[in-house]
Amino acid sequence: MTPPAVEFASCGVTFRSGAGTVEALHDVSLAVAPGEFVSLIGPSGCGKSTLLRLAADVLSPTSGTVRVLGDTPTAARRARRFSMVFQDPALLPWRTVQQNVELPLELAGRPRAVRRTRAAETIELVGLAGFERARPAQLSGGMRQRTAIARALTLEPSLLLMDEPFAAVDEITRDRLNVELLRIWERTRAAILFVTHSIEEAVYLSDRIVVLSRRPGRISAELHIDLPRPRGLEVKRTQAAFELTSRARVALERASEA
Amino acid sequence: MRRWRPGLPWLLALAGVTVLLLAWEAAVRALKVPLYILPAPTDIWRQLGRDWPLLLRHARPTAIEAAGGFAIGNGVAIALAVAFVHSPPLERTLFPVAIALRTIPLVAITPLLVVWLGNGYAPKIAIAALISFFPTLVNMVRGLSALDRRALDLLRTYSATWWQVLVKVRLPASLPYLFASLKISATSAVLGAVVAEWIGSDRGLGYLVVASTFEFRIARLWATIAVSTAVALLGFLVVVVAERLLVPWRDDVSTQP
Repeated sequence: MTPPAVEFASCGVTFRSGAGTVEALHDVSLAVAPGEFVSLIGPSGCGKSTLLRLAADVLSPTSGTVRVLGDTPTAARRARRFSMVFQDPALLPWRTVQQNVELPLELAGRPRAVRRTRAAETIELVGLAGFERARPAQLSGGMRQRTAIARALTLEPSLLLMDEPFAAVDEITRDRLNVELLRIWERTRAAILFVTHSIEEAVYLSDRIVVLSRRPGRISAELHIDLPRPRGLEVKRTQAAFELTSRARVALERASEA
Repeated sequence: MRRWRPGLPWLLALAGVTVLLLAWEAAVRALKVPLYILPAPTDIWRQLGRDWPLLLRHARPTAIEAAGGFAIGNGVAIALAVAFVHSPPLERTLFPVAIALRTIPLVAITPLLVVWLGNGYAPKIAIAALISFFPTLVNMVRGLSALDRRALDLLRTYSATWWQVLVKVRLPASLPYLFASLKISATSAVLGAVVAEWIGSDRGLGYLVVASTFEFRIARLWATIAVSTAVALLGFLVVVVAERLLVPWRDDVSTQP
């Protein structure tokens, strides 16, 4: 049987700060199946990003274990089997779109010909064909984020970790990027663990929404989103989506109080 | 992707210099200032014509010393900045030494350098290098560290090696900082070389300054100053052009990684 894309088993994270210690996560257990789309929502500072950073091998848990694609996060990172997308696209301003997208392949030591083809494919996939030679400063916020997504896809990861990727773009752009992300996800079949502040976005995108409580973050609710796929933008306006959004909102309110 | 063109800032700079020269010329003529106090720009121009072969002969060693010192001083500063960023303990150990070096009055150590290095090119290059060194060290350390946590996290998730981070990200990101200090040291390296030539030297623009003063050839002194300024300006322009070519994203401030 294929192992989960990412699996947190009783994970706790405690940060040591000047005055004392801060518990960011408490006994979190969560598994994301291969190809599954799971969103994390929760009040500010509840440790959503911390959870993502555990999977990305940027941070180690104080207690519990993390497995990524059946391996340790470090091994999965070295094998380049997952990618991360942040709110800030973090593009290198001196590189063109093409060169930015090629960066992970370059770091992995892939030959030039492979880099070219692969970058061209992912740039096409995110809808940036024709902008290969543009520099980040010449792009809109939405296009920069598309570039960041293309960059994340070049190594054909089995898992995408996305930390509020669309928080900095306007609503219309966000809607469009949501549709694009679903299309890309359906093409690549990578599992996605997605942190967001937007309940609507989480409902529209996800198979499952996990609600984290106020610090120390623990899982306070889980919602299965059984809206039919493929989902067009009109799904956001259906009665079913409204009901799920309301239920998620109630769960989030409860998580913020507890 | 703007192409380089001599736009408004350049015209304004040219206008500024022209106005200054005209005012100078007018003042000297109106007040009948004697030549040995202050020659008019046209006097200096005529002297330049007369002394041209002499000035050129002495400008050559000065330019070589300045260029050599510029290359060595900046090269060592860049290498040391990379080492500092790699090893914070090293930075804490050596940075105070670098600051102490900065506070040494160069005019005072020039005679020492002549004693140590002889009266050829070496002591002049050393002074020009010392002058170039410090601003670049400070700017380069800042430039190499000018990466935010997100960019570093990203590179970590792509398992970038230390060397890859340095070559593909830190060095390109530091170029705008580097060029800011190269512009300063391009001119100060020339000044350093000129000052170093005051002592124990028989050639170079600095020597010519001292010789002209002793011989009371005031117009030649001014012509030498003009040539020295032109050499420094030339160095500055070379750096500006190099920056345009190497850092075309210079103005893209909104997308710093």
